[in-house]
Amino acid sequence: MEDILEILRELKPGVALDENTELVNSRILDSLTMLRLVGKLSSEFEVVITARDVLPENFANARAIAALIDRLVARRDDED
Amino acid sequence: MASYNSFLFLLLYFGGTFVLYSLLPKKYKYLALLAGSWFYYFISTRGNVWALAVTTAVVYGAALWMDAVKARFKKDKATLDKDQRKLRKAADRRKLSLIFGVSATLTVALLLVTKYANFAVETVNSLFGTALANTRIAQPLGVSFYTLEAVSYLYDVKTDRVRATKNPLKLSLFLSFFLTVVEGPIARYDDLGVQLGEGARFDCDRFVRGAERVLWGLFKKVVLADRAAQYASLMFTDFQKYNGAMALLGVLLYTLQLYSEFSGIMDVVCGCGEMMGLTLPENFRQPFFSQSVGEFWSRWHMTLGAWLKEYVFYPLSLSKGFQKLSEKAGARLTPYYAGLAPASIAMFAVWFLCGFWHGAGWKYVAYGLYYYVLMMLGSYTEPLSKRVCDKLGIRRETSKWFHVFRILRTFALVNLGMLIFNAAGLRKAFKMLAFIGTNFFRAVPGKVLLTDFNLRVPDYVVLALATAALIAVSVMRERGVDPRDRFARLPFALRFVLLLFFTLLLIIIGAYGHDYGPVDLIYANF
Repeated sequence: MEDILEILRELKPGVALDENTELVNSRILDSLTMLRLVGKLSSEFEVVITARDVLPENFANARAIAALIDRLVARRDDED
Repeated sequence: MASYNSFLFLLLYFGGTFVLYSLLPKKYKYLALLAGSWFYYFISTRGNVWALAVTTAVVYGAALWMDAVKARFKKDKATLDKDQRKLRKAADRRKLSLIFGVSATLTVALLLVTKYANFAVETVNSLFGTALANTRIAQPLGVSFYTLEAVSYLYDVKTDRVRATKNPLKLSLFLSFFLTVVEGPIARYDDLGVQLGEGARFDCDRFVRGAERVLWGLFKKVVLADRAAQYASLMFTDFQKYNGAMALLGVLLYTLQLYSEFSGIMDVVCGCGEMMGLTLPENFRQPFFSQSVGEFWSRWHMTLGAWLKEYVFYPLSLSKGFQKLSEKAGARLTPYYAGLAPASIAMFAVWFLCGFWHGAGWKYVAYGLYYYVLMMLGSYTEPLSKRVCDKLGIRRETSKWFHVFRILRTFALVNLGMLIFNAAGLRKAFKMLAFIGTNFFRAVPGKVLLTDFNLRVPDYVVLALATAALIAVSVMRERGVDPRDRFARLPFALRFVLLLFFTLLLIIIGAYGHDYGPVDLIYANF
């Protein structure tokens, strides 16, 4: 969780963020920031995030992102 | 076509469907909605239903086929070893992509042929001096809206977001639903489609709240939009007879017309949905409080923006090709620009499509690309703008003045976009813009305001007061206060009297009668 918050803080300096901060409805994550976030998450956690994963519910807050990463790691391990 | 704000629609189509919907048991309520939707669509199009029928059939078959491919894999999974599973998965993925690609192409091809064929013919004629005849294909009602819903359903089935429905009637209802088929909102199957199929029991509170929203929507349409239209439509055709200030007012009133009409109709359809216990997706969220054009598009016609983002922007910019491009850019550029470079290409596709979706004409493409250029300018100069603000000591996140400046800047840019959008061609748009700049204070007799625009002094007063009411409600909403919640706290008898009064007010000050021709819904033509 802390890794994810760190990435978010790096992308959005000056915005107070915790694990429950609403990211999509509050427009903290606009489309371009979302792309940069996906890039950073993919390289940090070595997962493949596709367009079908980029749903508002998967990026609603840091906890939802952590749950998504867990699922993607499981999917990757399953495929390996 | 019976417009959503007409008595015919509200009493016959909505009223009739509502009665049937209320009488049927929950399990069969969708049949009432389906009957109402088919009846409305058939009468409104005078039987021109072939395109919608073909789209429904193609989408229904393709979605079931994709589901069957996935079900077969699930069934066989246990019997396959790891390598076989990998090979089978790759083969299935290709099969799913093929089914999706062919069915989505067919669906979009129907949109292109019925909406853009004549535009293509005219473009070829003007480029090559040929004299090809226009086609006689009539544009099917709602084709721009239900096509997007159809493609989203196919994509969602392909990507496991929804299961394909086995009931063709439920899919047909989703695509032809009478409250959304003409102007949206553009819904997704896992949201509205499921609700329509399940139906909802009568709820008195939701019924009353829905009715309140319908009244507010009608107010925006018949009191505000249709009055603003009287001035704006003449000004866009004859602006040279007046002066720049009056032409500028024409642009502002067109923006007011489009907003109050489109958002008003959304209030009517969402309110009607609420009366039946259905929650339709929202299309507007106080767009004129936006601080950037990007934010504006996330508050204006939200369901179109969301569709383009989910089904064009992300699939393109997260595709393997774009990821490779991003990696290459990363080797040469700073992380910010490395991310922006491939996104710029995906954004071009989004804004080209956004413009082109609005209409078959180059001015609509220019309208979309206008926003593309603005957004790219904003994004590429973002680091510079941040540095300038830091140097000047402007705290961008907290400064109230900067906040107001950004809202006003966005408002001005949006109005410029509206000028392009509504002018009869790009040349006329530039002419009007130049006219505003060069003839702003040209002397024009004040009496023209009362003689030329079919508006009298009381009309201007109503227009000003209604605009003030619209702004007041928007400010309340922006501050997180829902006026309907406040209204709901009043005693029931007082609420009833006020609603009655508001209905009477609508009848008295609505812009209809022998002086006004009915104003067609702008978005119904898209």
